[in-house]
Order: sequence, then C-alpha cells, then structure tokens
Amino acid sequence: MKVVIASGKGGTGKTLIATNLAWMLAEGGVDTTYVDADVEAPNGHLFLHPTQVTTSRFASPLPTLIGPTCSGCGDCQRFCAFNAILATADKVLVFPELCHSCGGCLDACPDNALEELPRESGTLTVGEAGPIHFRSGHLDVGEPRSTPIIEALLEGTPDTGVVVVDAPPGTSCSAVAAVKGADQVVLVTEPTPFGLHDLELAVDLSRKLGCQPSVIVNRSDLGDAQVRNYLNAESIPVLAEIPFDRDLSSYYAEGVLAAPVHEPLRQALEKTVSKLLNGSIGGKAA
Amino acid sequence: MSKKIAITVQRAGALDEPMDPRFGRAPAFLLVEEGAHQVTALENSATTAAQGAGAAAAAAMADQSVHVVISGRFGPKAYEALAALGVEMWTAPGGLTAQEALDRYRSGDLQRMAMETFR
Repeated sequence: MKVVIASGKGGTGKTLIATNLAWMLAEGGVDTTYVDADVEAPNGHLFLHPTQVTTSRFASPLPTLIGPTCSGCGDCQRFCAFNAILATADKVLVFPELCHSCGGCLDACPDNALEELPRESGTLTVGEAGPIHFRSGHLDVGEPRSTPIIEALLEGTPDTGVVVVDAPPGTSCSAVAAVKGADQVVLVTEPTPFGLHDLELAVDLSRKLGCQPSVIVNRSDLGDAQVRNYLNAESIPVLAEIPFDRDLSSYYAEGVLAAPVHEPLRQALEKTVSKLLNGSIGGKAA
Repeated sequence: MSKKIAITVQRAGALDEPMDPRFGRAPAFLLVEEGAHQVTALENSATTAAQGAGAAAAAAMADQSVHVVISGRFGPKAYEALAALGVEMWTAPGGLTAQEALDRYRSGDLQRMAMETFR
C-alpha cells in the first residue's frame, strides 16, 4: 500500500507526520518503507537517521549529436515541444535543463545522428532506519526538473507492506509525481486561510489522480473554522487533529522522532494507522 | 544580401512602436532590411511558451535570416542559441521606440552583447 503524505502548503507538517507514521507502522509490525520525495529539500533523514546507507548518482538520458551524418534538417527542433533542441547549420544545440528525456528527437531524426547519453541531476540514498526501509532523493542545486528522480525513487519501492511517501509541497509536477499511483493520500493542513487555499488545490490534485484524500489537521487549535467547514462540505475524512504543542515543536527542532516520546502525537497517529489499514476511508477509486 | 535587423517591440506595428526590453518573451519583432526601406512585423509565437522561449525565439530569428537583434536584454539560453546561430545581439536602454533604437544602432551608440555579461 502506498500512502502519500502531501499538503499543498509548505510547512504544515508533512515530514513530522510521514516520519512518525512510518515509525508507528514499523512499531506495529508492518513492513514499512519511508520515501523522502521532497527532493529539493529532503529532511526525513534528520529524524530517521538511516544507517547502512548506499548512495548512487541519478542520471536521465540526454540527446547528443554523435556523428557527421546530421544534415541540419531541423526535424529534431521542430519535434521538441519543450524548445530543448536547436539545429544550426553545423551543429545541434541541446539545452539540458529544458529536455524532458522523451527520446522523440531521436525518432524524428532521419539521419540517425542523435544518441542519448546519461546526464546526472541528483543523488539517490537507500538505507535502513531500524526496521524502516529508507529511501531519499536529492536534486542537484540548479536543476529545474525533479520528476525523473522522484519517479526513480518510487519505482524501487517494494509491492508488499506500506510505503510512506513524504511528498514535496505544492501541486506542480513534482507533487504530481509523488502522488501518482497512491492508494491513500493524506493531506496535512492547518486551519488558516493559507492552509485552506492550498488544501483545496491539493484535494483537486488528489482527486484528479484517482484518489479520495483524507486529512490530518495540524495545529488544530489555532486559526479559524474555514478548513473544517470545507472538509465537511466536501465529505473529506479527518484522520486526526494535532493541537499546537510547544514540546512537539521542540522535538522537531532538535531532530527527535516525537512519536516514541510524545503521547498526544502517538495517540493521534494510532488512530491514523488504524483508519488507513482497515480501509474505512476513501483512497484509490476502485 | 543586405543586413536584416530585428527589434523587439511591444506590438506588431510600425517603427514608432515602443521597444520591449525582453527578447524571448517580447510580443513581436520588427524586421528591417537595410537599404530596402521595408519593415515587416512578426508576432513572437514563443511569448507564451511554457519554457525555452529564448531558444524558440532564436530559432525564429534564424528562420527569418536575421543578422542582428536589438533588444533590452538576452537570457543565457537565448544568448547561447543566438551565438550558435551566428546572430549578433545588441542591447538598447529602456524607453526607446524601435526607430530610436535603430538610429542608435546605425550611429554606433548601442552595446554589443558579449559572453562576459553572464560571468
């Protein structure tokens, strides 16, 4: 089962929930994998402290002019929907940051003058955090495209047990890549106008990808009633409410996994785990 | 063949149009053929591109056999593309009409863009 912890708005508590949820699942004997898909700012390792870590460089195919057979016809350039390739009189110019590695230019080329060569854009980390299988990706600074590395992270996850995915914030391509194929989408929100605005976008994204989301309301005693009104109106199940707690903030700031030592969070997540595992809430459309 | 000059403008009009300071995202280009006293307006189809507007606009310049582009500034990918296509880049200060920019180019009062700009 793939459970994606997403949010829309940043800073609502995705990593707090994802890391502690993974710990709770593993503690309950579930074969658990934690995936940090927030590849532009991964921080799950600060709480899970994986060991036996192996890292590898991630690369995507990039078209490259290989031989003298190029006739300068420009078919590659005309094919590319992303303006990533430019044919000049004597060479082919590829803009790596714009290329989506679709391989279309190779098919379009009548001269067989292009070849795909690997181009590195990030690092993949795999390890074990106690009983939790740990995976994380880190996009290189300056790289604009995070989807390929997120897809690679998720491709390597086991089909058995529960995979907890710590998604990137927002609702753009990177969030879509993390949410795609989810069995359950848990949106972490806060009861503020900003939380509500981005929650609505995230709900929309989840539904478009075929999954009825559920919600955890963090700092649930702050803000206003708009988020709850919205959730009621949309019949979106609330898995847990976590009131603001200075101790919890302190644990987080110190990089301490809170569930083992913080009873209220543990209780909130116990409810979450049972609802997720017994299939009583939304999830993926049949 | 006479030299062909492109100037980035805010609308596909005549030489009294105000310049647009952007290259890839400029709404239109005015194409001026030196000696021919003829001005052609060209809408920039790259202006709404999700990405790579600079490279796409550069390709359009090559399709039109443009030798010189006058704009306010050029992005790094536009620079790379235009340089590879052998198109000269000249930068004009803000607030000029296309005619004023053209006059300054002809009298040698504009800056030619060089790679050092990005270093």
